[in-house]
Amino acid sequence: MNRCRCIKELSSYLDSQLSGKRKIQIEEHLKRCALCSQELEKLKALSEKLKSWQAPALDVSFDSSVKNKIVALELEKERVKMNKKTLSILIPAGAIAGILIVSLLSLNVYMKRGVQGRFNDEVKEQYNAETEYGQLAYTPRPDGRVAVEQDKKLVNVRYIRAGKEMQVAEKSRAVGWQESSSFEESDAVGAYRSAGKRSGLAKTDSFLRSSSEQMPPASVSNMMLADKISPLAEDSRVIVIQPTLPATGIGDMIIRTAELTLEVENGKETYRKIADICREFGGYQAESSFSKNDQGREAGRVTLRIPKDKFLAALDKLSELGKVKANNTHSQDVSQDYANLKAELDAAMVVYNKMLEALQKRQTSIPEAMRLESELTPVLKKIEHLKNQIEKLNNLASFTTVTVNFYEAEVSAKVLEETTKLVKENILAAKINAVRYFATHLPLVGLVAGFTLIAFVFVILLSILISRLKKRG
Amino acid sequence: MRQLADDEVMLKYQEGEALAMDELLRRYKNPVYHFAYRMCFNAHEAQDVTQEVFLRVHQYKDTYRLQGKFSTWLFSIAHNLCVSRLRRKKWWGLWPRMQDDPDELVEVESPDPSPSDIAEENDQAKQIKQCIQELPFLQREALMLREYQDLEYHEIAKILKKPLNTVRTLLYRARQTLQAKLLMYVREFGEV
Repeated sequence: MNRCRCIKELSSYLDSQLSGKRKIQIEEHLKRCALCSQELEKLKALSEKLKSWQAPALDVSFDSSVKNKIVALELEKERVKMNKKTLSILIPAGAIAGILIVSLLSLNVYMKRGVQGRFNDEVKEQYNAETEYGQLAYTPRPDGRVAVEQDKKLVNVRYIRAGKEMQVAEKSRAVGWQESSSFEESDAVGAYRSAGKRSGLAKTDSFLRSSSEQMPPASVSNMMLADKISPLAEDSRVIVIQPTLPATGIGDMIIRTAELTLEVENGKETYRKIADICREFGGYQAESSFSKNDQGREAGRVTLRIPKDKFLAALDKLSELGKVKANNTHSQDVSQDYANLKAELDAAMVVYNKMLEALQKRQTSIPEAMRLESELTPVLKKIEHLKNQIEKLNNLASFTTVTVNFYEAEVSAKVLEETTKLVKENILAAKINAVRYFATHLPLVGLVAGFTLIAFVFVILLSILISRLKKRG
Repeated sequence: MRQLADDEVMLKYQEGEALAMDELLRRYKNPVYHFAYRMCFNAHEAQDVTQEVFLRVHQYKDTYRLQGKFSTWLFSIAHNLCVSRLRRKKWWGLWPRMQDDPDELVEVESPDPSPSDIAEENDQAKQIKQCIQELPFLQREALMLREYQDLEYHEIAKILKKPLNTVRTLLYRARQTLQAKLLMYVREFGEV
């Protein structure tokens, strides 16, 4: 069957989609063309048939389900927004908090080091202490010692190192550098007591008891300390005395010992300086020891014998070598012992001389002479023994014994320098080893890096794909 | 709200008027659903598509601009969703081959009809449904938009993103093909 050219336009004509002019033309054509008219009728019938196919009804709950989903969508959006907001606050806040924590920890570590390094035992400014004997004022001196004033007038003042002596002493014991309390008590009561003890000055218990009974502490301390009081150049109200050796009122046979503990910057340097001071004051080294631990900290102990008249000066000079952590002085009055020994010796000498005279005068027989001589021998021995003892006491009293313990601070500049150097060397060695390793295992490293990169790219592509599929779903 | 034009209702919705969505649903839920049903041949799927259309209307309400009719925009969304649904089915192997061009999308097997689908269809409807299913996707779409939604050719062209002449051709071919199939059906199974 022939098909009219206008058939193609019938669909548009049916849908009223032709322009006005074309529509008229088609209408004119339809009047003449039976084929097109037939075709048009078919199209109309088809359109009617199509309308018979109806879709089933929509669910009655459709509207509410759409609105619920819209609400859920909005809630999700808000939740995401809140999460983003929270993160934008939390992340910077967390970063700042982290920085603060790290800073505080570092500061804490630094402070601890500082405290460990220095014990912080120096009084920085004047402070007052109330005691049963009145108010005591502690004023620091430039040399690190502290002057004590009671009720704003001249009192028995003591040479002390710091206001927290007991704490420092405890710490010192913990470190192990000294065994006994190194500082005297800071209040006046302690001053009187200590002065009283020093006035007795005995190492043995018997001596302590006898001396304390003999000497009223207050009067003696006044007498003692009066000799030692010297005004400060910078502050005439405060009087400072040096740590004094106890003196006795009976002769001057006194055995003096001192023990000094110093925290120093350089152990070796200090050791050398101690020897110089010893020579300077005409003394000699009785003992010495020196050590260095694994961290490079040096320590040592030197026992010096210094002439008694130069004792205080030498002690002062030794104290300047470092930070004094402990200062012990002790005196023992051996005058009585010395006098006793002297008396014994004199008596023995008298006996010996008489026996000798008798031997020389009498013309006795040889056996008799030998008998007399044998009686003299024990007397001679006793005389020798007494002489030795007297000599020993003389020697001990003439030279004071000064023991200096010194150690380097836990964190000193020298140790820091050595530790830093060691750390740098280790880091350099580690870097060299790493480079060597990579150089020798370069192919393996390249292979591993390549696989890692491929895996990474694969994971990224997979995640993009999954997200796209989810969106479509 | 009922007196307002579609664009005005949409503008109201953009401003935050919740009742505007109710009005839009009232006006367009059935047309969109019928269109989706005629594209998917499954009531449940059609309902999903319709729901998704209105969710997207809500999602993109701020980007809606007064360029053309609201209904054109709405059916464009529906068209895109139907195409992506069909493509997804092809991707997951339900169809013999995947085609990017909607022209080439042909449903070889129809999805299982729901009980409501079966109950509501008369024999003639079944005939028509069967024949329409066999039409190429774009021809079917053009025909559905014209026959059931009464959209103008230029609107259909906008929705399908095709030139006007293409739409004329699609409709002509769709009708010709459908006529031939129906004739064949009648010859085989008799007039219903």
